[in-house]
Amino acid sequence: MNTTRMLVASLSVGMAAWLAVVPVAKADTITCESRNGGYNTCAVNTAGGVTLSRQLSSQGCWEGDTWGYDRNRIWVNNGCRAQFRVGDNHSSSGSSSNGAAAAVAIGLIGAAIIAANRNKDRNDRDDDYQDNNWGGPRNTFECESRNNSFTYCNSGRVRGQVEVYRQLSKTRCVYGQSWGNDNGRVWVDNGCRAEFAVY
Amino acid sequence: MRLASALLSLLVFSSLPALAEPAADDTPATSVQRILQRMDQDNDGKVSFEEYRNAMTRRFHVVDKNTDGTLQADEIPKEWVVVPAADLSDAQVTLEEFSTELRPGFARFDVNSDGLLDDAELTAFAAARAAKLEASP
Repeated sequence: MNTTRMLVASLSVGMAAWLAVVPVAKADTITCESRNGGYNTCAVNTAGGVTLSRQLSSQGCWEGDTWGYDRNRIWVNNGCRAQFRVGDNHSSSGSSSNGAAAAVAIGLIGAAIIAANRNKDRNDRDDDYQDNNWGGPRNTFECESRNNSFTYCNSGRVRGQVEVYRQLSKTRCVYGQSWGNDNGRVWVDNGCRAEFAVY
Repeated sequence: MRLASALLSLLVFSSLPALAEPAADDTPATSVQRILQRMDQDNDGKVSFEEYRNAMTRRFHVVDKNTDGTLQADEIPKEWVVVPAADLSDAQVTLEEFSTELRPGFARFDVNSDGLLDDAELTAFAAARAAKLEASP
């Protein structure tokens, strides 16, 4: 009797776990987050493809660098947090009813970024960061892995979010593999050459 | 004020603050060159949607001073706004709403729908901005 009850109980638990898993596998959208800049993965069937539908972090989400996916999971790194659309690739009609007009406005907000940069003065980057709204980096520096060798960048210790601002090598710079941030010491490896930005 | 009207108010007939000093780079801020300098992460001379999305999302967070994921009226930069500030008193834009509009905003300039703003499209993007500047009082 006890055995039967235990069996039923464990079956129930098993069923519950199974039921809990299924909706995740079929979910349209999944949120995946790199906490404290660390690597994280989110299990999901990616056979139908993955697109990043909404970026939630100010920290960059760069495919192949700080986010990506393989057969059964999405991975994120270096502070990327986003909602991903999995499976069916028909685009959502999440737009507001006034989509066309709103699109125009947002497109111009894109242009507004550029406008704000008019105030940018290279001698005044910190103020720029504090007072201006364009969201540019506090500073940038270049770093290169020569002959595919590991090297720390000549930037001293940096504080803040570091991202690839401009990739200069043909070789892809992938966070955690060909570049990284070791407690404020930025490094490159495997031929990654890039201009890095500190935010 | 709901999303659509709030967004509509975020036009950029910008009353830019007076420049304190000339920028180190005198290229017009609306030039293609400056757009690429700002956004072109992979250095291919084009702006992909991902590059655009990252630039735009970062900007949202910079403006969202109280980091609650919503731009309240007092957080919406004045230079984005064409209507009198009073009309924005109860406006707000959430990150979700903002993010949702990024794709259509990009698509407006991505005429051939290849996911990239290239030479001609970038020129149009820059021109749209320049035209607004020109039209602003």
